[in-house]
Amino acid sequence: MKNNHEYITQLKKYGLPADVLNVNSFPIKQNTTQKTNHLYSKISRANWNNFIMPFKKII
Amino acid sequence: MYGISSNITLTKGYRKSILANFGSRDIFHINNTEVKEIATLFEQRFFEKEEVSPELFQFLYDHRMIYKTQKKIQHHFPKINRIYESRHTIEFLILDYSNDTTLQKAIEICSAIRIPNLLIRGNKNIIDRIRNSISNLSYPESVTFITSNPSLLKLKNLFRIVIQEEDIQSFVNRDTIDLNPILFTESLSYHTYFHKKIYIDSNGFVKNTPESKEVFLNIKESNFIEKIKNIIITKEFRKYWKVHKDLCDICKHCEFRHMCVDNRIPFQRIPKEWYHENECTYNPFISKWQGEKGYQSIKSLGIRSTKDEFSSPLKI
Repeated sequence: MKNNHEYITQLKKYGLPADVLNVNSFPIKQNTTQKTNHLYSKISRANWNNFIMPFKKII
Repeated sequence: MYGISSNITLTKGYRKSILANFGSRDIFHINNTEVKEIATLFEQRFFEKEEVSPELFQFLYDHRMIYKTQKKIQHHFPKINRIYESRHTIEFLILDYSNDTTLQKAIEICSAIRIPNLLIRGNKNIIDRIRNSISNLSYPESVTFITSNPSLLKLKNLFRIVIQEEDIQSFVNRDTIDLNPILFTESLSYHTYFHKKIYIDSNGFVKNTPESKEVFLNIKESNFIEKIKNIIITKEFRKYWKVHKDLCDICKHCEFRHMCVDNRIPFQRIPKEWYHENECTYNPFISKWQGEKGYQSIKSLGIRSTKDEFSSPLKI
């Protein structure tokens, strides 16, 4: 369907979401990712859950 | 019906045995005469209350080593196969600190080969430098700084950097014997000291461990990371990795064989028979430590373990 606006109003009439096939062709506000300035970098210790330590006598 | 917990292990020695519980970290050093009944229970795994002597039953029940189950669901508790698996080809890199370039190269090796533990021996304060260089790397995951410098020992441990005092005592020791499930499973099929280790000395020479004689490379050479990647796969580098304690002469009669880390180099007599040139500090045939009252060396008992033969007047 060429006219997107008409297509959406038709689908709304039947109570269906605009993106019926889930192909993300109609961007919804919820789906758009917001770019935020993260406080920590990706490799920061804030993202570390645990780290490996020696479990026996080594030297 | 009762079943024995899978957390429990029994290691038989020549004179004494060890009954250990990984769950509660209990260790019982028992004479071999008392072990017979427990050993049969280990083979059965499931038993009725009447089959066991009441004293032993009470002992096992009090220490949570047995649990009550039903015969119908017995097959839901299969025997655990203890196999040591690790996702890293090398787990420990040991560096004798001499200068910053070797430190930087060691960290490069860690991140290239994915070595999680880096151990540095030295007395200079280089902790800030280590922290800066590993902050953007995911490997090495932790750095252990081993030192005898008292001013460094006063510093607090940092995230991913741990400061430890250098241990001058002999390797196999009463205090270093440790009940550790990972060490236990590793010791069943690998040598706990040589396995998955790499060592760089103060001159930059690459070896398996500080004790080993074979030198494989110098990190001053160009393209050293590629060369190390090729070296760690070779048979020569992995020579001692699979020499577990059940293959070594006197160690296979010791009850602590799955709980110790031994730095003596084993020598091969014939395939699947290895011996040590130096004696251990524990004598399993009289079950006494060096320095204890009534200690006798293994040699004085008439036991000979040399390149040519293993002979003993005892019934082994």
